[in-house]
Amino acid sequence: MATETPQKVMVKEMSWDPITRIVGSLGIHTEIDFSSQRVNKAYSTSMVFRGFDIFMKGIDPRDAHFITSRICGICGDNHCTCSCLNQNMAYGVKPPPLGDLAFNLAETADYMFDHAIFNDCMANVDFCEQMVKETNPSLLAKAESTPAPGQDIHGYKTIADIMRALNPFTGEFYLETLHVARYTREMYCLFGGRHTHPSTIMPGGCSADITHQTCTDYYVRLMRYFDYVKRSVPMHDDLYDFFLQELPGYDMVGYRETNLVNWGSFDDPDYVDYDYRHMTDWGRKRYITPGVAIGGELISTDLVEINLMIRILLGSSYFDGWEGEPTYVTHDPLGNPVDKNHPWNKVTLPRPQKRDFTDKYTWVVSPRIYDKRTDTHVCCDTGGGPFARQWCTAKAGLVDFGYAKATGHSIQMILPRSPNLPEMELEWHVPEKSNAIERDRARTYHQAYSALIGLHCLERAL
Amino acid sequence: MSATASPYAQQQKTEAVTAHVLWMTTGLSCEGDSVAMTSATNPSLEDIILQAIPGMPKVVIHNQVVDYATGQDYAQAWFDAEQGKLDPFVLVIEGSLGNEEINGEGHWTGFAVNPDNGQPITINEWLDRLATKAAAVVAVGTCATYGGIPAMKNNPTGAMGVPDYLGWNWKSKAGLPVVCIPGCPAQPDNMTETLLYLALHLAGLAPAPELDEALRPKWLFGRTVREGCNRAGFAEQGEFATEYGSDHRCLVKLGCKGPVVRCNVPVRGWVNGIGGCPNVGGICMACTMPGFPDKFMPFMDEDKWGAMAGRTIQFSYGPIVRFFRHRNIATNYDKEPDWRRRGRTLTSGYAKRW
Repeated sequence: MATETPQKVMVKEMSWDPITRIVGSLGIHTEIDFSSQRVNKAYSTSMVFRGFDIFMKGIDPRDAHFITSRICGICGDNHCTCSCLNQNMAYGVKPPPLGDLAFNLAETADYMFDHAIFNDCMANVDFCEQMVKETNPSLLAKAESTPAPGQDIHGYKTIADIMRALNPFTGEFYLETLHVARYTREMYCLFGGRHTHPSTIMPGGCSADITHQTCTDYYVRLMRYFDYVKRSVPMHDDLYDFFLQELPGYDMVGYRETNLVNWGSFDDPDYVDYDYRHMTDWGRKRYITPGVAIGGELISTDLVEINLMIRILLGSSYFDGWEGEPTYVTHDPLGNPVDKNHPWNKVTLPRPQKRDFTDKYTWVVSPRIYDKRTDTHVCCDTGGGPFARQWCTAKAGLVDFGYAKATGHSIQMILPRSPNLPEMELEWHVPEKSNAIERDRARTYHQAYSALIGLHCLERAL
Repeated sequence: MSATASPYAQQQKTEAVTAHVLWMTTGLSCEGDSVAMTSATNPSLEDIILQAIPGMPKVVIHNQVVDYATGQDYAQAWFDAEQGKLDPFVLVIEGSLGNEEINGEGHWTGFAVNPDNGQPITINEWLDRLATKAAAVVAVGTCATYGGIPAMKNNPTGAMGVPDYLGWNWKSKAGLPVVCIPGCPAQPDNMTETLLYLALHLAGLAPAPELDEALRPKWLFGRTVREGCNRAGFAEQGEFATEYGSDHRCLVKLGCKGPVVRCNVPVRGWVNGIGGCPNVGGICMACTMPGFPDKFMPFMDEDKWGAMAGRTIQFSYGPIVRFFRHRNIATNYDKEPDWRRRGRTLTSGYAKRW
């Protein structure tokens, strides 16, 4: 619906419902002012509700990870793993070191898979030749004549060659990534049994048959992956730098204030004891450092504190509040108060109703981070994002396992010699802004970082 | 040979036909079947799209997880199919169907926008609009086939599977029942292979997939997990694992439901033959079954019938069979025949003629 305001300004309602190349039944509805090139209003909606925290009530807690995995079809194994870590804490169980390492090896393989397929078979289709030709032909013409600085490594002579390589189902790099997304899932299955809903990830450890063969099969594929990622990172740098350079203002596409939260990933078996009272310490020993950043400042790396900052608000969702419901937890095991809106106290009370963009319009609630300094509920990019994980890890400067080191402003990585390419150094710098390009760039570097953690854990497992 | 007499003329004819696959990921689902489908290798997604198999129609797959188009551009195919503009098409449903008769003006799950009222169109309504026009309706994953996890006891949505909604005796206009490919998620190759055969069947090049009473392809779900499991030999000898971990004995006492579950994963593996469930150390949680999950919980507890069967084997012939096998291996089969040695005489039994 287009309307003309008195100033002859074109304001138009535009919708993208459903959004594709993403998991989760999502739609975006907007009102855009084309004269000032501003989005006046934007609503994101999710159209699916199943009720996990309703039908899981009362089941045997050992069934939890089998069920929570089914929340998501691309990161189900992460949900399963988190549930097992929780169960370890609840039962007071410490798996043998190989059990912790098996979790890490499964999850690093998952990160290698997930960020590869999401970046190059979903997100980067937005930068492929077909898309650029349809939306901005002059940019494609420019790309045809722009040499790619990293061509000696990745083999694509011009930026347009890179764009062509990303065309869905015909582009060389797109197809290669589909293939990579299979053998990385084979790596996952070596420890997790199945992807995305694992069969061998359990509280207390991993029940897979782990023998020398398991490690060999993992090793061979991992080294092949290093070849892939050594070409992938410089190729993406070339592509993203081109967009930032040629389209002034593109750094504001997807721009958000740097508000981040991540819980960290990959425990070190020498430190993790699954005891809540020591979570601050073992959290900081994770290979990806937990953190909360608000307004571009890292304000905490303390997993206990981060947990207690989480709030579930109802926003514009089809749920009733739980003010009148019993409070399950008033204090954590360290005596810290736990808020009524903390997930530990959440009661899910669905109230299906008509979608109304002036009132309730989604099945998704609004998780926030409570900043007590300013008494505000801050909307943060969450732990699933490589941007948040790398940003917090780099800034905290706690990680140094030889192959990768966090410096306080960057992450330095040294990739090993692999079948086709020599040793290579990479450095990811904390960018000034959080925007679409930088989140995509972080995702490509994160594939290399995850592979290095995989290599490190594999060597420990041997 | 001249070009006019190509021996592939029949295949070329069906290769020229375009068939659409409308793959709805928007049931009560996690989209895990679509994600798993991208890892299929026999055939792969590209094999289907690039027509790797002779005679295969040109298949256009509309799937939200991988599609180039977005918003209404993407959803248009569904409206076109409703108006008869896409023919033939196969409707694939992923995720269970909520009971949309109990939630007033709300929705449990929707796809695209109804232009008349701006509301999401429920998946149930899409089924009502499209099922009669589809050449086949395929339910992928246990949610779509039998209800699965969202249909657990005490669920708020009244979730059910596609045959529960359309009716177990429902037939498509091409005479096919709902084709069910269960699994949570469905094994990747099970999905792409069944789609391939459906496409070849609709092109007149292959018989209709034979289905069992739960509407599963017989060649995929004819055997139980135990019947394909590499630990079955241990079970036969009464050897059962007592803790999770690197132990190759049968997992039935740790909760594995494999003896009573129809599934080919121990044979086919998970991705490209790698992985699986009891074959690699994970208990079978029965995720392909109509009774999943409720009838198999707690997953980590031994099933009482399985326990009884296990004990029967363990305390009768199992140990005897194991004892004699291992004794025979140790005393006989692990040893070479005695003629293999150095010496001035030939001891192999051959009567030499030189």
